[in-house]
Amino acid sequence: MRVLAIDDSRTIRDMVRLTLEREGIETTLAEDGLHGIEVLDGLEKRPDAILTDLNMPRLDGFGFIERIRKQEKYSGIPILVLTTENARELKLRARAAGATGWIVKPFDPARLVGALRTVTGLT
Amino acid sequence: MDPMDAIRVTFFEECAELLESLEAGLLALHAGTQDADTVDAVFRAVHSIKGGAGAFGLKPLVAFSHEFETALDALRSGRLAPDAAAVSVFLRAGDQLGDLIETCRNGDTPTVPDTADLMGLLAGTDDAAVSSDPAVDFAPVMLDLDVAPLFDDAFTDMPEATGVPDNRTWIVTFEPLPDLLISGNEPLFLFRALEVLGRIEVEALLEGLPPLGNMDPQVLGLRWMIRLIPSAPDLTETEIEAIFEFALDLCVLDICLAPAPTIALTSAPVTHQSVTPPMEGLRQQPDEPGLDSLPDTEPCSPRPPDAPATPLPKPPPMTTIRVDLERVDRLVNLVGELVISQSMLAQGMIRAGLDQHSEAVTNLDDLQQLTRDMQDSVMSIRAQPVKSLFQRMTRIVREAAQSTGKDVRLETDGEGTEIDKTVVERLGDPLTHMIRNAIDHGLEDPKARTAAGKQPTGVVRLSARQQSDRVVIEVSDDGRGVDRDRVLERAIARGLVPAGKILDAGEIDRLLFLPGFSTSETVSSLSGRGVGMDVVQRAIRDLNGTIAITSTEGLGCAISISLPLTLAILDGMIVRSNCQRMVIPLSAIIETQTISAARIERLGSRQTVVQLHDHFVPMVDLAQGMGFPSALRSRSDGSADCDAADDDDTALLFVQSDDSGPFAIRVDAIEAQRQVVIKGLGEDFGHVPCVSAATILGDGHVALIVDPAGIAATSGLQTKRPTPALFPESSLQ
Amino acid sequence: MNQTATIAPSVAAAGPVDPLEDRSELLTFRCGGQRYAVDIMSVREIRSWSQPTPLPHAPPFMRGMVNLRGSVLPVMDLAHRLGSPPTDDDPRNVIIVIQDRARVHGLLVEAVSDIVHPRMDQLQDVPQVGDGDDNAMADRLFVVDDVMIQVLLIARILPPIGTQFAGTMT
Repeated sequence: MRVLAIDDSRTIRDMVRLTLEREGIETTLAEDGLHGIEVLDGLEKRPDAILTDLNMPRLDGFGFIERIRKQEKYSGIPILVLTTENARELKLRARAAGATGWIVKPFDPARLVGALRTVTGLT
Repeated sequence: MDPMDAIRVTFFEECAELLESLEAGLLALHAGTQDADTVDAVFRAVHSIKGGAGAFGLKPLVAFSHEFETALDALRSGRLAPDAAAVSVFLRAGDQLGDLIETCRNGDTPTVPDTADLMGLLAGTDDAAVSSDPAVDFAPVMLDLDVAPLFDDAFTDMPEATGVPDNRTWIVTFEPLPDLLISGNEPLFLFRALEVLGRIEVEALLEGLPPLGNMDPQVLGLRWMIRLIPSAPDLTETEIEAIFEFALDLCVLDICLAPAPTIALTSAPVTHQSVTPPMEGLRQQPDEPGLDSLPDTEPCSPRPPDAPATPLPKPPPMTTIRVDLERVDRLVNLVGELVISQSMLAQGMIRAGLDQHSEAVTNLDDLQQLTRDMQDSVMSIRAQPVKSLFQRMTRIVREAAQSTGKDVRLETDGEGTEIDKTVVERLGDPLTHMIRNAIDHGLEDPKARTAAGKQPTGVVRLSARQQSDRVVIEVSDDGRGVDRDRVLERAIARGLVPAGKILDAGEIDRLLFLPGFSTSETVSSLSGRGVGMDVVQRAIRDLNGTIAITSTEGLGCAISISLPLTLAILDGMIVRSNCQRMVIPLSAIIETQTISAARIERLGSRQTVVQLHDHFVPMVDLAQGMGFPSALRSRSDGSADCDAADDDDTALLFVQSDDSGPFAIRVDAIEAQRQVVIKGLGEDFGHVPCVSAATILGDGHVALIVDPAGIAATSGLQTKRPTPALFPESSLQ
Repeated sequence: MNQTATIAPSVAAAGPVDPLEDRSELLTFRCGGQRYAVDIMSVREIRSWSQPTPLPHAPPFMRGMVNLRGSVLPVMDLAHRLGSPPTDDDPRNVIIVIQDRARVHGLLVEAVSDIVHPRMDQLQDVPQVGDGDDNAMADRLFVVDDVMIQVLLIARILPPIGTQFAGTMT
């Protein structure tokens, strides 16, 4: 499985990478929404899933998801939102933008990996 | 290192950066900036700290940053005005946050700082009611993932899974709403995930399918019925529902136990409708009925949804990579080696008698230029803007202003000036001290300022600029200037200056740098911490820097520090003494004289003094001062021609040391003035007296870098002299 | 310039096939007229002689520092360290670069002799003389061709970190 993870916090990026790579998931990182799009466009193979933070500089998670969902070449990629707030309003906005699901930070590694497996249908 | 430990290190590094941007943002708000980006950045800094802190279970940090964030959110949403009062509460909270992080980093048990002020800010806003225990909506535990409860109640009318003893078949009816596919949820994958729970039989129910012409490729017109024969007998409805966690609001899901006995269906293959790519223009409406009809199971704060962020045109981001400092240092070292190898090559070519205009020599010149450029580039990797350092000083100013009751404004200039990372790190303490000093001793209180016809608010200026291959950092104030009468009086009282001695203004000002000199009669809580400006001077010297003071009575005082751009390279004088080549740091040298021009006198049988301007100062032979036996073996490889000291070459270097006055070092010859690459003597060497480091010369030989203060100490010059007030700027720079 | 000698496996090493863990691998050398050995694992390289730059206020056995590919390598006169007279400057001398954990030191010796693989049972503990010296620098010895070779403990040869110059200031 290949995952693109976007978060402006280096700490969270490192933790996501550690968590995923321990499970053999190939992980690419980006630092904000715009960077995420750049990285995504530069990838040879599109990732099986995307994890994104919501509150980020330059282009936030909502904006990122909206842009990705507009592009045909990225259709159907599951996008899980990593959010600190377990707040309904944020989830609704994320859903409206086209998010596939949510993971609340701090995340449980097993649940994160489990959620990725569910939405990608991959092991 | 355990990967988590490494991430912990990263977290605290990141915290330091976030604190910086927090402070920068708050200061901008303080200065009247109102733009949303600044507020966002401030909010995000605290938010990120909270996020990371949660990951490490640092509960007090999570709790405090949560309160902080709540207050900042009020600011962000416009419910709270960024007035001066609010911003100073935030600035204080920022300081508290910094302290809290420091405590956590040290592994100490922190307590949550008082948040009454922060909460006070919210008192007048709608948030007052909902500002809550962070545990309610933010639980700092690793397992908080459960988003399902949000949508739980939508399905409460479903049959309860009552204790069923045997592996009874579950029937799951799954009808996707139009947005399921767009959201990236894929029915096939959901079914696969169900397979983890047991054997499944999937049947597509086609009766709802619209006529082909009306089919929307984005929308699944299908319903599925899945029979699930669980592998574990105690499978519950909740476990099944959890599979559909992310799809709960995008489907109609029905989960119930099949009436026993089950009639086995003819196993139907998964009818998976192929999904064509989404089409442009198909947009989701945020106010989809499916979403709106969702029951509200959480107390929802009345905050309005934020406007979608409109990305402002900004310069493209700089791409950066993080590199282990060790690797950079290795590169710096290697380039240093390259420089040395190249000068060895150059020397070899000269010895080989190559014509100055030959192609080889010309090419070598090109190579030399390239090497220099390369060295500059490599050095710039280690360079860091002084901005972070300057930002730290804003807090020092705030604290000092508060404790002295003076109004102080800090002005900074040249924050982008870059200098070696280590220098930046080691400048923190000296700068802190200089700024405290300026506020404590330099600035008058508002009343005295007004009386003197000045603005009641005092100004401390912190500036940095590059001057050729050095960086000059200056701390100045518009206070009363050095009180020279008092300084002189005190110096005389301390026996630092003989009574009746006439000193000019500059000499008096430089008395401040003498060890043990304390300018304040009453030890104030600020600068009276047992350190004087002599400690500052020593710290600067350790960085191969120089320090100078200028003061104008009634108008203020400026102390400027001149530092090398890097610690890896030293400007040195290569000298020879008793067949040994050694390097004396240029920053220590005040003046040089040839022996023939010097006036040398003997004092008693052992001591020799030499005249420097109108004083006599002690003279020490370098090799003797270093403790080398007088008849050293000459080099067996003959690489250094070591004739008996030729009097014509003998020279005196006047150096300044901290603990003694100036003194002269006698050397057999001055060979060259050049930059050398500093090679630290590892801890293997222990403390070597009189030596600060080593270097490798052009011929590959190791040469010692002399520590003049050490020579003064081992030669017994450390007694305080009555004529110490000679602090001329190095005449060589 | 200095050259790094490569250590060729010794003919003496060849013999009946023994499990390697029963044998230690030692570098033997001459120094102060005697024969010594150190564990080959602690030897980083062997360098030809170059004149060390003396250090001020150093113990007499510290000969100074040489340039080891851009780093500064402390060099001690091993013979002098072991109580023999100082080794004369001689271009035929060699410097054995040894490493003990993070510490890298040069040992000035007269010549490197061989690499030997004595069996564990050929190694004999150094007999205790008098009330025993815990700080003895050799802990084992063995005999090859009727010559006694002392096996030095690197950790004991190196002066304790940071203290080697203490008390030597004049």
